[in-house]
Amino acid sequence: MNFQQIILSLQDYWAKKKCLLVQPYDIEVGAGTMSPLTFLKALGPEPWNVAYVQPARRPADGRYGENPNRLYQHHQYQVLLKPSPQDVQDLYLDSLRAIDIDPLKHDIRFVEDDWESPTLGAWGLGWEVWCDGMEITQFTYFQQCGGFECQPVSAELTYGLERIAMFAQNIEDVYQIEWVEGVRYNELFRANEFEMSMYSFEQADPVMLSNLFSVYEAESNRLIKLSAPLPAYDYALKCSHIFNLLDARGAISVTERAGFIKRVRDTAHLCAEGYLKSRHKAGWPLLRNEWTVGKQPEVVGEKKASDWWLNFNPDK
Amino acid sequence: MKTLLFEIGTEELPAMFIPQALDNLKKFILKELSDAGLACGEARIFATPRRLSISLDIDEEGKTVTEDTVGPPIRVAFDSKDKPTKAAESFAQKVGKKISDLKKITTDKGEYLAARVEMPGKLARNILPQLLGRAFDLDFPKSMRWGNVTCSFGRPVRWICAIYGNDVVPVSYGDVVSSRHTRGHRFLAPGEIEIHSIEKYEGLLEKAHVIPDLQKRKIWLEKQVDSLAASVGAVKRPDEHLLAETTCLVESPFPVLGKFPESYLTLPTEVLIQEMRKHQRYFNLIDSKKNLLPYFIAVSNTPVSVPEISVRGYERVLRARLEDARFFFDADRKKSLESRLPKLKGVVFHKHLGNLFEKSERIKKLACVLAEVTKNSKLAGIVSRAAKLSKTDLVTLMVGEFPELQGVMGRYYAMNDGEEQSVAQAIEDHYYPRYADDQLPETTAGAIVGLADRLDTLVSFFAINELPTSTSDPFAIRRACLGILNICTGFKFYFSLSKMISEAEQQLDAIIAKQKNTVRGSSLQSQLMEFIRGRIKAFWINTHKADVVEAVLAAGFDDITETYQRIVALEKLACRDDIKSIGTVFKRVVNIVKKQDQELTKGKYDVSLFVENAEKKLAQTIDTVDSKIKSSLRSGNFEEAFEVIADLEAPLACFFDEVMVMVENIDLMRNRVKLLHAVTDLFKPLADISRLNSKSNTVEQSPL
Repeated sequence: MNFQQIILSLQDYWAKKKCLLVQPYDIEVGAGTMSPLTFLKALGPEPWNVAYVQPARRPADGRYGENPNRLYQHHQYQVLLKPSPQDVQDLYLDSLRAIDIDPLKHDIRFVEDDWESPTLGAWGLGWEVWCDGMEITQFTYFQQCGGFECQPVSAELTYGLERIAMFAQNIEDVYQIEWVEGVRYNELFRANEFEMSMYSFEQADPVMLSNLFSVYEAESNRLIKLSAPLPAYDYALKCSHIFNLLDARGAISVTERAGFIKRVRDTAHLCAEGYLKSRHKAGWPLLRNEWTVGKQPEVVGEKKASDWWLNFNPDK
Repeated sequence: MKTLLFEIGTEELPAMFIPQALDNLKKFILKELSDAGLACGEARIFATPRRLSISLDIDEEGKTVTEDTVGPPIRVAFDSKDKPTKAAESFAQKVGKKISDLKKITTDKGEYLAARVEMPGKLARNILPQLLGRAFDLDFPKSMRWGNVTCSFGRPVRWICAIYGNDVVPVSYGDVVSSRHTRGHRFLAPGEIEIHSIEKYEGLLEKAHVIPDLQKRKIWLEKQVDSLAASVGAVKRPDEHLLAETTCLVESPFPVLGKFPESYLTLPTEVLIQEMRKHQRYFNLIDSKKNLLPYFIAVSNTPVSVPEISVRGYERVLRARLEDARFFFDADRKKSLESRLPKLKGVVFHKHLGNLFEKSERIKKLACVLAEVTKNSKLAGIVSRAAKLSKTDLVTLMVGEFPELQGVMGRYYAMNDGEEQSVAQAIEDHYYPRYADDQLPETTAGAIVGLADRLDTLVSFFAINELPTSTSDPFAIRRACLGILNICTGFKFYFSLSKMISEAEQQLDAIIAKQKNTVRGSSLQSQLMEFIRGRIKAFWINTHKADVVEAVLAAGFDDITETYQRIVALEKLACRDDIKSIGTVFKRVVNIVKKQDQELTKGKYDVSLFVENAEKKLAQTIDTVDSKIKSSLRSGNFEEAFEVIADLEAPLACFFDEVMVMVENIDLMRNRVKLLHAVTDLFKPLADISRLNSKSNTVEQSPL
C-alpha cells in the first residue's frame, strides 16, 4: 500500500463505523491530540467520534532530512471515540486488517504506555501498539484533559503513518516511502525537512520568539475574559509551538522550561474551562443525538460517568 | 465442597501490575471467606495480560457457630427484687430462650445479660455475589476509568467468568455482567469459550493457545529461550526481571531469534543492554566469557505464519534504535564533560536549593573534608575531580535518552576525555547504592563522593523544611539516608556525623541565607539526627534484634560505623545463654538509681562505708571491668568490651541477694545507690544495657 492508500483505507474504515471525517487543523501542532477537535471535544458529557490526518511538527526532532527515522514533521492518523466503546480494541484491530496488517502474520501486542502532556494538563493510560516490535499506534484512554476529569472517557488512537507506511512497504528509510506510484516522500518533504531543521536549530530568533510567546499568551488570556475560548485556544496552540521552537533552538534552560510549560498549561486550562462553560450554557447540544460508535452496553448498578456534568456549576 | 472459578477478563494489563494484583486477589478472597466462616481448600491462581483468575473449593455452608448474644445490662434486666424486667423478657423472647437459660457476662462496660445461641453457618452461594463484587477493589499502582463507567481498574474490565459448582455467580462491574464464558488467545482463538466444568478451565485455555498458569508459562518461556540461545552456541544474559516481565507480556510465549550488525558492539555494553531489554524487551545473548553477542531473542505473543517476517521487523526496530544510540554516543564524545559544567547552571536541583552546578561545587568541598576525616587525604585529588564532574553526564544526549545510565555514561565519557581511570570510576560509583540491596561503590573515592552527595541532599532538604512524611518522600531522602548508612559501614568510614552536618550546612549558607523559613543551627542538627536515628532503627532492626539496636542507639550514634559495630558486638553477646538475664538485672539497677535524687547519689562511692562482703566484691568487679572496657575501647574491640558484662553477673546477683539498698541509714543507702550508679556508668559509651529484653523482642514501629 502506498501512503495515500493507507490514509484512504483508514478514512473509509472509520467512516463506515460512523466516525466524523474532518480535516487537519490549520495551526501548527505537535500532535493530533492538540487539535481542538480532540482536546476540547474530549471534555464534557457529549459524545464525539472523529477521525482525521494531522501533520505534526516537532522542531527538536528535525534532522535536516538526513536521518531515516526522525522528522521535523510527520503525519498522524488520529481517531477519538467518546465514550470509548466496549469493543474498542477489536475496532482498532479491524482497522489494521483494513490496511493489510494481519495479526496472524505479525506479532501485534498492547504494551503498557502511559501518556502525559504537561503542556495540555492532560494524561491517560493505555498502550503503545507493537507490530513486530515496532510502535505503530499510541492507544490512550484519556483520564484528564486541560486539568478536568474526562467523564466519559475517550479512547484516542494515534497511528504513526510514516512508520506504518515504512512497515507496509518494507523499507528502512522514510524518504523512500511511496506516497503515490512514482512519487516518493523524498521529493515531497526532503527540502521541507532541511529548511525547517535549519530554521529551528540555527535561524529561529530567540528574542523575537520570546516576545511572540508573551504576545500570544496575553491575547489568549484576553480572549478568555471575553468568553471566546475557541480563538483563545488557537493562541494557546501558537504558544505551544513557539515554546517547541525555543526549546529546539536551545534557548530555554532546564530551569526556564518548567516555567514555560506551566504558562502554556495554564492558558490551555482556561480555554478548557471556557469551552465547558459555553457547552454547558448551550445545554450540551450533542447529548440529544443518538451517535455512538461500537458496542456501548448499559452501565449496571452504578451511575454513568457523564451524569457528573448534570451538577456542573461553571461558576464554582 | 464445590469449586469456585472467578476470572476477571481485562484488556492488556501492564506486565508489572500482574503478580501483585494476583496475589492481592487471592489474599482478599481467602480472607473474606475466612471472615464469613466458610472453609475452603487450596487456591489455584492464574494470570495472563488479559485475565486474573482464581479457583478453589469452598464449603457450601459455613459451620454452625455458638456465640454470646449480648442483651440489656443486668441493672436494667432485673429490678431491685431481682425479678426480671420487661427488658429481660423481650430479650429472652428475641433469642428464643427461657430467662433461666440466660447468663450473666462481664464486659468493660459492666455486667450484661447474655444468651448462648447457635448461629447457622452462612451459605456460600449467598455470600459469593457480594464478595466477588468487592474483589474488584484491587489496588493498582495506577488505576483508570473507561467508557461511561465510574468504576476503575488497572485496565478496562471486559468480561467476568464466575462459576460456583455448576451455577454462574451473579456479579457485575461497570458495564460487564458475569457469565460462564472465558476467552482464549486474541487472534488464534477469537470468540467466547464456555466453561462447562471448572476442572477443564486450564485445559480449555491451553487448547485456545493461552497458558494461564504464570509459573508454567515462565518455565516454558525460559526453556525455549535457552534452546534458541544454544542454537547459536550462546546463553541468555541472566535477567530475572526481564523473564518475569515477558512472562506477563504474553498469553503464550513464542520466542524468536534475531541478529544485529556486529559493528554496533563498539557501543558501551550498558547501552546495548538497555536498548534491548528496556525498550524492546529482548533478551541479550552472551558467550562463555560473558561477552555480548550480536544476537537477541524477542518474545512474540502469536506464532505468526512466517516468523522470518516478524524477525525482520524486530531487527529493523533495533537497528534504528542502535543507530540513534550511536549518534548520541558520537555527538556526546565531541564535547568534554568539563565543558558541560556551565550547562549544569541551567538544571535546577530544587527551586530553593539552586542548580546542579552549585550542588556539585558543594559535593566537591564536602567530599574533600570527608577524605580528610576518613583518613583518605591521599585521595583528595581524585575525589575533588570526580565530584566536580559527577553531574555533567546528566546533560548529555545519551543520559537524556536513558536516565538509568547516569554515572555509567559519565565513566565512559570521562575516559574518553582522558581523565584518570580512578576519577572515571568514582563518577560512576557515586550513584551506588541506588536502592536498598544494590551494590556498593567499587572505589573508596567513589564512596566518598557518594557520601558527600547524599549528606548534602539530606542537610539541604532539612534546611528548607522539605521533610519526608510517612506516605511521601518525593526527594528520596530516606533512600539517601540508607545509602549513607550502607556506605559508612561498608567502607568502615569513621567520622562524626554531627560535625559533617555542620560542615554541609556551612556549604549551603550562600544558597539559603536569603530565604525565609529555613531551619538552621542546632534545631537543624537535632531534627536531622532524630531522623537519622529513626532510619538507623527502621533499617537495622530488619537484620538485628530491636532491643539491641535500641540499647546501642541510646548510648549515642554520632559515628555510624562505630554504632554498627557496637550493635553487632552486643547482639553476639545477647545471644549467649549465660547473658540472657543481664538485661533484667540491669533494669533493676537502673530502676533503683532512677528513683533517687540524682544530685545526692552522684559521685564516687565511699569504700569505707561498705558493710557487706557483696558490696566490696561488686566494687572490686567494677574496677576491673572498668579497666578492661577502657583497654578494649582503646583497641576498638567492642565485642571484648561487652564481654566483660559476664563478669558482673554473679557479683550483681549476689549483691541483690545479700544487700538491702533501701536501708534507713541514709548515708549507707546513698552509698549503695552510688555503687549501682557506677555499674550503669560502665557501659554508658557503649549501650544502655537495661534496654535489653530478656524474653521477647518486640519490634517497634519507627516514627518516620
